[in-house]
Amino acid sequence: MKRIHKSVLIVSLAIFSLLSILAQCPPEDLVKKCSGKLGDYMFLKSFKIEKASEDVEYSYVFTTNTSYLISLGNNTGDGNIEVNVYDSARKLVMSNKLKDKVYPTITYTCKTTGIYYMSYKIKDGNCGVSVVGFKKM
Amino acid sequence: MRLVLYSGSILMLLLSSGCGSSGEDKDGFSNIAKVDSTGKISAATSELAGQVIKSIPPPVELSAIIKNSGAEYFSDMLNETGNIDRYNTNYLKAANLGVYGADLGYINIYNHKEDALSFLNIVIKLSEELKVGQFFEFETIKRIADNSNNLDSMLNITQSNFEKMNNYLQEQNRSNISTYMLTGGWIEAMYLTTFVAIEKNDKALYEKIGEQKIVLDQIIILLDFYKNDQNALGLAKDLEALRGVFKEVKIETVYGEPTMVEENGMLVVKDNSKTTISITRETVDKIRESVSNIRKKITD
Repeated sequence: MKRIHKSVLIVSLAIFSLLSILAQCPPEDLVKKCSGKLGDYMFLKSFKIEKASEDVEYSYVFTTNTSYLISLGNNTGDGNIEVNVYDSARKLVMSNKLKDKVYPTITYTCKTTGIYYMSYKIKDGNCGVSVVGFKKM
Repeated sequence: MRLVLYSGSILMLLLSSGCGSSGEDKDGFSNIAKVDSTGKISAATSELAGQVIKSIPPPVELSAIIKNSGAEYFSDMLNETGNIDRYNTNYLKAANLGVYGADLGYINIYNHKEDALSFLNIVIKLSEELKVGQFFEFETIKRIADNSNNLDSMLNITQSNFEKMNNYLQEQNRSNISTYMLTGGWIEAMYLTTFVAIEKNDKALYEKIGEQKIVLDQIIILLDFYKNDQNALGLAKDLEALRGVFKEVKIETVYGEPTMVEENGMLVVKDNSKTTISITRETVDKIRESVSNIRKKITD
């Protein structure tokens, strides 16, 4: 009986923790916030990033002579998400980290159409968003 | 809940296995039910499809290219709003929601407010019929359009609403609807782009059409998830034939190390790679004809 109570308690705590995490993760608000930084770039896509033991990865087709802006934000503020973008041969094409500084916004003018892999890591907090905008060059 | 999304690996695996080929177990996903005999889509399929959908650029990117080429606005090329009554299956409704959505993006890019509101009405009607009408509220969007000098804000809000709709459809295990929307939208954008490219004999547009080869591969991967559905099967067959034409396009890339500098507090990345796309007017013409035939099947 005691063992059953203990199991119920553990499961309840796990559910409560999960719900707490989800409650702190309102991507809609973050999408709005990051979209607000697009300026003259047009909204393309948003990607939800949750804290995980491994990097969160999404793919996207970037096209030549297009300038992309990636705006990052999470529930503890800006600059707490790292992104590395790799081409289809897994070579690094961009990162938002330069000389130990992590930037919340990066722009990139693509010269090679292809599938790219955006690999995200949350440094702080548990929920983030990456909004991608574009403009033609 | 899956926190880590290996979409890239999934795509690579599907591509390398020659997805859409005959071998049932060769794609490594035989343990994931794609579409069962009742046409129901599993959560796993919906999630995988959702990841591929995320990777595909929306049609508005091609519309922006058309406008950048200096082409004038062609309202005659758009799907007629009066055609809506013909669309009496979920497949036709979804595919044409994609078509009208692409047209709406094109109209917004060219800043034609009257047409935009007319097409927005059609988009809302089809969305409601597909039970995803909650993502478009006509009055709110109209107010946004009325309060701005150009339709950029309307464009951003409709783009964002389409994304929310796709996320919702994925959660509801209805990613097949998203897939048909996306395919319809891509076909419409390609229809407009190939028309303008040939009319203007614009070599830059030819190259843009050539690089769509990569997007087409992604769409064929998506349709493969629903190969038990006759609509998806028919569409995939037509797109496979189109892929045959795209084989004439050659894309070569030379990698160069990127350089990064800080400008106005923002990190600016310069891509030093170079791509060469080889495509002839004849190939573009063949692509146009094939796209036009597929579009006819969707819209007529």
